[in-house]
Amino acid sequence: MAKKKRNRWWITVAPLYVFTIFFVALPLLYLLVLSFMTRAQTWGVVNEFTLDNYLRIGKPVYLNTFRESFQLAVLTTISTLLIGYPFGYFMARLSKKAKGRMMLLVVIPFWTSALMRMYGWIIIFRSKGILDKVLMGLGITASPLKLLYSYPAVLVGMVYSLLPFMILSVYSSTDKMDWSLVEAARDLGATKWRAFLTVTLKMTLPGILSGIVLVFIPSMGLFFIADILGGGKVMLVGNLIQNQLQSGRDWPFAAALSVVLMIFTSIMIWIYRRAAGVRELEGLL
Amino acid sequence: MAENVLYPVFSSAQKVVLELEHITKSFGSTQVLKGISLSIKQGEFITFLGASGCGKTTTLRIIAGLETPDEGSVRLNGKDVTGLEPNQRNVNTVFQNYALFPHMDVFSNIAYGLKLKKVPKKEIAARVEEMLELVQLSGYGRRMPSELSGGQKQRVAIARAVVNNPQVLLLDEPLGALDLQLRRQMQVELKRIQKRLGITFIYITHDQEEALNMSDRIVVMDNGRFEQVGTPNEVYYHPKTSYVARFVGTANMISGRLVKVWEKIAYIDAEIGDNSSSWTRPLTTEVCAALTGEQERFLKPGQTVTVAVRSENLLLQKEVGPGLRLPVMEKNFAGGLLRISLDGGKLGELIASRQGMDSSLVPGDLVTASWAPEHGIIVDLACDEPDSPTENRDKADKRKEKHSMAGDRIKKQEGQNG
Repeated sequence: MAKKKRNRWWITVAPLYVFTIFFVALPLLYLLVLSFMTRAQTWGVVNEFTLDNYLRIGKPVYLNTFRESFQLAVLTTISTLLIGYPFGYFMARLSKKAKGRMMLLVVIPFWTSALMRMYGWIIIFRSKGILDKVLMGLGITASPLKLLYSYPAVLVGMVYSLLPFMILSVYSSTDKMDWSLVEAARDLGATKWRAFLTVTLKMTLPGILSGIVLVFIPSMGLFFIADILGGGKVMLVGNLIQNQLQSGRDWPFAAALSVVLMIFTSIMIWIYRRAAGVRELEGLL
Repeated sequence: MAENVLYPVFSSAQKVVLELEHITKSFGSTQVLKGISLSIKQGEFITFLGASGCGKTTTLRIIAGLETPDEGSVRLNGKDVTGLEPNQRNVNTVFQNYALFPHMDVFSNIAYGLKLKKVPKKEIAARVEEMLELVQLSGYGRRMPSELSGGQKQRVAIARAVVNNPQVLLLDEPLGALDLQLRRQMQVELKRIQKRLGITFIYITHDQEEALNMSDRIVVMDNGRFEQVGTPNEVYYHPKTSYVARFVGTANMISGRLVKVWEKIAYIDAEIGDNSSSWTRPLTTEVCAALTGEQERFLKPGQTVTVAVRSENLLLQKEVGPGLRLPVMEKNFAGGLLRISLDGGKLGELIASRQGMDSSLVPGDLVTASWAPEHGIIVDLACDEPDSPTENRDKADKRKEKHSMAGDRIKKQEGQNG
């Protein structure tokens, strides 16, 4: 019996392997192969090996896009952390009933299309939109701010759509906190602030780290937010890939951009993990 | 001798270090502390003994500053600290689950309090090292808490609190999670540490054996009030209430009507009543109990009283004689003791315990249960005469909650007794 079982262990994991091979490994391999091919004159790809796609990325205009994307991603991550940490922290300290309600409020936006929610921001941000009306009505500003199609608008959109990931990561690690540790710190002479810095912050670090990863990676690649709220003025790597794939019809170049983006984010995460000295990011990586 | 530099041995053993005054505390609609008062002397080992939910942990948290009382005050060395934050009082706690910082090694855990006080690094290292030695963990400084056994964690938790040289050390069921053997060993060790450092220990436990073994004084708590405050001897041999008698050791409660008092011995008609068994028993049997002088003054013939008799003091014999004639219900052997339970009719089950497991008695046998007068203790007697100078502290407490007496008068009485 035992021997039979040992021989057939793979049956239980086979579906997992099949799925991973067909939907993760093969597409990635296809992407990699594609990135070394040549673009056809009219449509499609020619089976001709080239390194041109990668060499093109070295051009200042494309490097600049990478730099800008990175800046926006960092800015987005810092903003979500500054808003999401206190949010998640205090949410975890609510009563059980209030926690449930708050959780619902955080998750509800996911029930509507992200695209729709971005159009919502247009209504708020556009010239003489809701925001302008409120600010002008209160006499804070004299003329429309012209926020729509600007860098701040894209940042707000990014922060808005990625904030729940940060909140939920911080919440889950704060919720698991052993509060007697904070009491012990207070008992040993720490002020509330000191106890927070030396104990709570350290204990919630895994949540912070997984939140950062969950926000940083998508914010490098998101393109529709920059499209809708940036109005083409803000060009990110995501937009570049999308352009090359659709209007530019340069699949190999889009593939090469994707590969570089993937390598870049992987390196970022690796550096970050080394720097933070944390091996487990809430079971994320 | 080295410890004398850091921990001066206190000569003034009579100095009061901590005073609790008429403290009440409610969580929602439940009142967990119903006006408790106590004063604790420098260097005392005080144990709060009670079942879970009796309010002992809340009392401890109020002393530590982790909870604020609704009414009453906490005074440390004569200074009112009731409203102060935990970090503003020189009191440290050993938590029930140890609460060691998992992200710091043993050294950093112990050094935590000293670092906050900005003690020079060299001194921190020396004091931590000394503490590790005290709790017999020299060389464990670089270990993480996750690499320690339960007993070792316990020692680190004690060292982390004691290194700050607190005026009072609070211990919340510190041995609760350890196995029996380790517990006995740690009891001895805690007592040794306390003696050596001369720090006042306030110890919380639900284990009467622990309380009797270690304490200078025991505070028996029930339902948010102090049932009795006294030395282990007093609490064990002279329980004031039936709760104390039942909680500390196994005691039988025999209630009846007082017939007479003669030469400090009370003669009581115990109401056994009739029961359904095949034999008839007398309605009442005369039993006896020793009285204290104070109790003697309050007792009047005809009054209903309760006598507590410890199971080990209940003598059984087959012959008819003076005492309660009762049938044996069952025998069982546990923890080196043979327990014989008797059908006490209206009195309920009575238990007699013996060393060893030999006994010729079998269930159904009729036996005479008796005890020496000095082993019968009258409990639950409300000595309610106003302004009695002989009243002691816990009675004052009892009266306070009954009559809501003014706090300052209680204090005066406490002063006299303390």
